[in-house]
Amino acid sequence: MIYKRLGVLCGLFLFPLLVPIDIAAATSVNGLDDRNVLITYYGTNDETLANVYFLDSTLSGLFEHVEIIDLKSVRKADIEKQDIIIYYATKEGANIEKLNLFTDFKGEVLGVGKEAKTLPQFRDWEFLGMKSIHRIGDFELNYPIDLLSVKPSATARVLVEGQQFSKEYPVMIQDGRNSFITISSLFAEGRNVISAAFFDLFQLTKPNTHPAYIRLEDISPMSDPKYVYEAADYLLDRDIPVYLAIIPVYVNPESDEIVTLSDKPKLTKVLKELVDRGAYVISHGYTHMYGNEQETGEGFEFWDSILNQPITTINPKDKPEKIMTEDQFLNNKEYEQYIQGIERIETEYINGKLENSIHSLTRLGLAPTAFEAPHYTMSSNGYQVTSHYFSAIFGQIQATDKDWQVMFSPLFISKPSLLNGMILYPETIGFVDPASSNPILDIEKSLNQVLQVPGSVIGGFYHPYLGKEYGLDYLKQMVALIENVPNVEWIELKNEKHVVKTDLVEIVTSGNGEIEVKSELSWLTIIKDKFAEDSLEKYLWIIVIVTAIFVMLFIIHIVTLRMRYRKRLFKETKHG
Amino acid sequence: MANLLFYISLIIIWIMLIYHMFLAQGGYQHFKRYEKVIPSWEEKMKKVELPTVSIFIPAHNEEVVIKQTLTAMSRLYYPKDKLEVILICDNCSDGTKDIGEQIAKQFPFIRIMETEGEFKGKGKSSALNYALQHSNSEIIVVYDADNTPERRAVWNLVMGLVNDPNAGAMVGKFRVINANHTWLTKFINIETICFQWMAQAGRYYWFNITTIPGTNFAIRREIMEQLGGWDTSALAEDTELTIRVYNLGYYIRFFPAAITWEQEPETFKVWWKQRTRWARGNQYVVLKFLGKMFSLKHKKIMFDIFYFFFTYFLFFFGVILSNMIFICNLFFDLDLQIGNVALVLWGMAFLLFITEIMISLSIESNQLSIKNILYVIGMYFTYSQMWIVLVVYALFLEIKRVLRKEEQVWYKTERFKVGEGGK
Repeated sequence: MIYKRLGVLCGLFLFPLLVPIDIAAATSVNGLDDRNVLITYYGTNDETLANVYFLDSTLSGLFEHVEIIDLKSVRKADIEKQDIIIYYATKEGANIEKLNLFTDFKGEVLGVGKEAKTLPQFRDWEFLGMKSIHRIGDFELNYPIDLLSVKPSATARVLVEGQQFSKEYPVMIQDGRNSFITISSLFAEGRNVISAAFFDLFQLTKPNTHPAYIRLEDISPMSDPKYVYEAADYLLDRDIPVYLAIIPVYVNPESDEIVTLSDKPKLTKVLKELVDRGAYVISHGYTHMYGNEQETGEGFEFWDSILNQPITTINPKDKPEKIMTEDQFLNNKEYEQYIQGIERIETEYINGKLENSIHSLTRLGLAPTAFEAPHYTMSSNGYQVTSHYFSAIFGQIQATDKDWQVMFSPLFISKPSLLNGMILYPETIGFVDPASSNPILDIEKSLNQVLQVPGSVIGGFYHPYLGKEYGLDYLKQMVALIENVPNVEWIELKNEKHVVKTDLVEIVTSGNGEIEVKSELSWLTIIKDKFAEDSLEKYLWIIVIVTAIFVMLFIIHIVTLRMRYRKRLFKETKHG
Repeated sequence: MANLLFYISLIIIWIMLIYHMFLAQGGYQHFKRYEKVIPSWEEKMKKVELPTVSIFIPAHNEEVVIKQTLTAMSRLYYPKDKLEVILICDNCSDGTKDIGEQIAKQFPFIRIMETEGEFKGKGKSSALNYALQHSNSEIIVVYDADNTPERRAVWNLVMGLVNDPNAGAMVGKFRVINANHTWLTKFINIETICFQWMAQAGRYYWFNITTIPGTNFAIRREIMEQLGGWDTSALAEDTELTIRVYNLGYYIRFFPAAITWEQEPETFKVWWKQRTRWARGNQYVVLKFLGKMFSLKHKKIMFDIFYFFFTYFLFFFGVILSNMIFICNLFFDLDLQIGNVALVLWGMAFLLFITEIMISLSIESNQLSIKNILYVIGMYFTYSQMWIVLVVYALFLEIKRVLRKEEQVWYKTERFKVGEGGK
């Protein structure tokens, strides 16, 4: 017990050092519209939040100033300064007084979801009832979505249409300053069509280029340097920037085996060479696993995938328990305290993992410039914590704290408020999946969808280990697809402003093509990290082997001495 | 936290174990080669003029053993005109001096001395210093009062010094005369054999370092005079002297051809007292030199001081820490993350312990018996563990002494009559 208390004490002393500095806040996305946008919403269920976050993510890639305020908290002053207001509601019962605050608003208003019709702006609109569509724009939906049917007025124009069999329904409709999106699920299959329509809806200039990147995914100490090198070399030779998503530590849960990058000099050498040639390192977590039951690269690191909840234990051997629900507590205060306690653990856990990851990579000369969460999973608190270390994040966004599978990715480089200032480089076209019957066709289909959206990011990834079975064929085909797109602009992080920062390390890309690494990692932290990596056990096995050799040698000595002694005794008896 | 402590103790313990592993190997190598020089050395002894030798035997109430000791001295192989045996009676209240004088009558080369003035009753170092002042031979050999050297012991020691001019001192081997008397002497017998062949021979083989053991060694008078005699405030005057000899630029040679037999404590109480003195003495030496470690001229000995520091402070800290963690872990779940390797390591440590000792034992004739092997196994769990308690106790006394600014007090080891205890 004492050591636990000591741990707490140490924690208390260390705490001031860990007070986060908001490094992400200084970065921004270039060339955005400077109108003020407010997203307000009614209802707190997961679907509402996910859609609100999607709207926020997408719009923050188009507008400079986007804020989200819950309808309950909206004040008159919040409304007055806006140019555009978006109201999302699928739940009935919004406060009439709050809704009336919007009556005098003179800017543009967009209602989303069936209950957004209660906004004063839509009082004269003729809504007909719920329908279901299986096609949106040109896109055939895999799952039908519900839609609130609306009868367009004479002055209205329909920007997006949906279809149910041969019947068409407006999905996005605009009448003067007011417009409405009649479906409530935006972030799934409809995202491309909706995102594309925003340009017309808000009279935005359509960019004529597509930023693009390919990540080389899941590079861990177990990766074969040959295939990593081949894939990266191919890209670099074609002047395509290389993004290496690296996991510095490999843990095999069955054997408890731990392998670190420093145990793999060949791989490290290859990675360093690639970095010297301009490849970027993305910290892809520390071990890419949590708890005992997962293998590196397979497991989730920042989300408890078994209980489908945020991380609740720091020590991997403590068995996580299901987070309790509010009704298991006497009052709200106790519940909040409980949740705060859990968040503290999660925060400490993530702090440790991120610091370890940044430090171990930096130590090896592989200073990371961005982050990517394993399986893109993380709670909102996790994103907060991460934003204290990174300003750039790759991948998708987990939309709720209750289910990792509710995940989306906007189509623009954006600064979603959920990510607390981090800039997201979204993954939009998927990856080469050898399990698919035609992986390249899958990518091509997604790419074509993405390309409908002006200025959308073409972001995908490729696993270098595929090289073993397929050579570079898939990578070449994937690259060819992207290179075929007119006006592709490969994303170069070094030309943008980003920071990766811990107490001891600072990696700055100041936008002029340089990456500056400042490191105060001392031998003490290196030893500490070494301990954390637990690879000591391997050295212990080496000791066992060396000792065993000596023990055998000693046994040989003993036998030799014994024989010599016998011989002498024999001689003595003979002569004596 | 617990994990960190566990690893720390593991590392400390294994540094020691691996070090001793190499020592055991070195000891074996030394055993195989030390005799090879003897024929040429003997040749040289025939050609040179032999040096004069004084044997110092400091004694404080040694009537039980002194007759046997002096008898053994009288039979030594060395030209008697070059040899004097000096029995230094220090504050004796028993018949030591009388017995000595009786024997001296028969052998003119045996002298009896009695310490006086500032030298009287201060302990071994002081008695040796007294004799140093009152003799003038070229070489000094020291024996404890309970020793019975073999006939050629002194000859061999001197031969070493004559032939190896870089050796400041020559150290022989000692064996236990009462090995079969009690369970304790059986353990001590095994311990001393291992000490000779691992610590002494092993260190000599790898680093040319041997510790003067307090008995059965020869040293050049010029060195003793240059050093100004023995350090009277040292309880372990031998370790202390060792360091100073090395600091002069000489080394000390381990030459196991010179053999003496000595008595070891037969009861736990006597053992405890004697070993507490050794432990405290060595702790004193470590503390005395640790501070000036970097100012010592000959860096090699730094290594040895550090070794002592490791033995008497760090190693025991590691062992005690590891024991504490073990006990705590029985009651609380300390969440130790180390896996099976810990158990395997423990097994290897035990195997090392057994095989290292068995090598040393098999060097000596008749020692590698089934009975002794069983004793060795028992030793791990008993005798070795007793040392842990003892070192802690000694450290406690030493700290108390330093805090109270007391002077060192010499406890003489109680002797046993030959034949006492019996087989």
